[in-house]
Amino acid sequence: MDQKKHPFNRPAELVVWQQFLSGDTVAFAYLMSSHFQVLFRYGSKFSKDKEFVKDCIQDLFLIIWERRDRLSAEVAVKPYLMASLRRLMNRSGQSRTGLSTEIPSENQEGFDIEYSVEEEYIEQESVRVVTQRFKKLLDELPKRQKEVIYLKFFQEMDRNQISEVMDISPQTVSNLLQIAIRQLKEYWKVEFLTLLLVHFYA
Amino acid sequence: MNQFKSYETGDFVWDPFFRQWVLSPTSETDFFWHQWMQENPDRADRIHEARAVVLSLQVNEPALPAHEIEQVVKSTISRIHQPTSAIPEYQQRPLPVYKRRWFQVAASVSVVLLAAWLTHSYFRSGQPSTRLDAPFAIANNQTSAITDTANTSSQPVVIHLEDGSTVTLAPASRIHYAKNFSTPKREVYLNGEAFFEVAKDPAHPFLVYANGLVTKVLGTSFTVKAYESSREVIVEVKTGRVSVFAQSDPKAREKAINRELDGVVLSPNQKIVYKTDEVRMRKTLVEKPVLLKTVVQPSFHFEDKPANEVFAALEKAYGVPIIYDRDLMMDCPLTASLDSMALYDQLTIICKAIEARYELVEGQIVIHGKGCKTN
Repeated sequence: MDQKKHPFNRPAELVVWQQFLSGDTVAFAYLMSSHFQVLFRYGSKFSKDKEFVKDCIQDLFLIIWERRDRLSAEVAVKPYLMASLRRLMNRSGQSRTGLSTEIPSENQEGFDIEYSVEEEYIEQESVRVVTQRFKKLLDELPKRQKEVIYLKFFQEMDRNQISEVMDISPQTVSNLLQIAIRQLKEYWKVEFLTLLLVHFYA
Repeated sequence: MNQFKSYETGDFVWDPFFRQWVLSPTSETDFFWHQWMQENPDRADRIHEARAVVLSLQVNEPALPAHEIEQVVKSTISRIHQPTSAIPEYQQRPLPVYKRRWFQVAASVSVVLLAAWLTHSYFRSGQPSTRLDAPFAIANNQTSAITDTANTSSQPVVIHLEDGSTVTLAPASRIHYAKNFSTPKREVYLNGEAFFEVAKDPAHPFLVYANGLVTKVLGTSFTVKAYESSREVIVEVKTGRVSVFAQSDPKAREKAINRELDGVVLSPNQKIVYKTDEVRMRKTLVEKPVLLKTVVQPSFHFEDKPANEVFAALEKAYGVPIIYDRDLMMDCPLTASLDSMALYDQLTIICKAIEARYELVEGQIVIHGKGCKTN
């Protein structure tokens, strides 16, 4: 049951993680390069500065290497790394914005995500319209709901992992998810009904 | 699974089980959904629509090119090897501009240290550790004690390891291994797909770590498929025997070190599918079993041969166990020319002729039939 609840807490990752904790540089390099892309993509939601995101990821790994004696041997590796990167970027971002006036403070914790509709999977015009509507619904979600949806459906994380990454309680995660999904579906149903009505009365 | 019957497109789109099938299908989920669609034809349109939505609606995310990742990993590894490493502090993160200048200084220091270290290790070992056949096709990182090789080309790349083994690395795959590869264990970490031809050295087991599965061999050839995007690890054996076990196995360490082949043992033409999220292994046969290498090419031309002898011939030719009721099959005479056909086609024809069917169970072929006695 617990195993199922932690799809990312895969045994392989734990073995590599524990080898890294014991000072194995091969495992460390593997850990870093196999998580780099996902961390970069996640980090890019908080900053558009590519070099800054890369620097933060490097710092993150230098820090966990230094602290490996004090790290837990039983962690869900990916959520742990994503949560750490999020914290690190927030702190760095704060010290950055302290001296730069470019970024308004309210955007500090902004989660910026863009969806696109890949044409290659669409064969019919009706499907394109439907997909565009899903994109619009996603774009209209508030930031925190966007992040929850991203972690749940595009990173396939469970409630506990999302709670760790976003540093909120599991209950809050459930609430946010429920509201977000209801919004995504209800709008859908309303639009669907409207369409039906238009269809019947037109 | 009755809740799906009232699903609209939007319900499917946001259903984790449905998404999982669309985005990373396995043979089981494929089977489930195709059967479900057959039983519920009225939902098929919504499923097709939801499938297109899930596939086409993607997060517009920048991907960092592999060589840039390589570079950062390399510079990080070189920094942890410095005696006075410049590890950043959480709280006092400098400004980007300052940071970059400071970083440049640190980087140039690390280049000097790295050069010194490499020279030192070169003279100590006396020989370069890896030879690469296609140096342009692959990004190779030999910083510190690790060799990290990624195939960023569209062609498979052959890598020769120090111990005489070769690895054919599929595109978009990468391996990591220690520079002093042959001692005490030969260990390779794989991301993606590779075909291994392992040099015999019973004293030093060859281990491939991939997505939760450990494949251990003493000298043989086999393929491992372990793409990050997939939830399966597949090991297919071409020659020799290999043993596989999960890294979660409490005795994994022990099994990796000893000289026995324990765990699940695979013979030629057998493969194992390991579901990373279910922690379970399924032994089966490869898609196209090949003939074992023998001096005399076996003939599959049968004239009035009892079916049991036919099965015995196939068993011997492919090295795959075939289970059948010998007494029943003795009464089924068979005349057929099955040369230069794939094993499964041969089985299909034989079974049709003797009114039987075959099934793959745990890497074996089981024949179900009532025999051919006419009453």
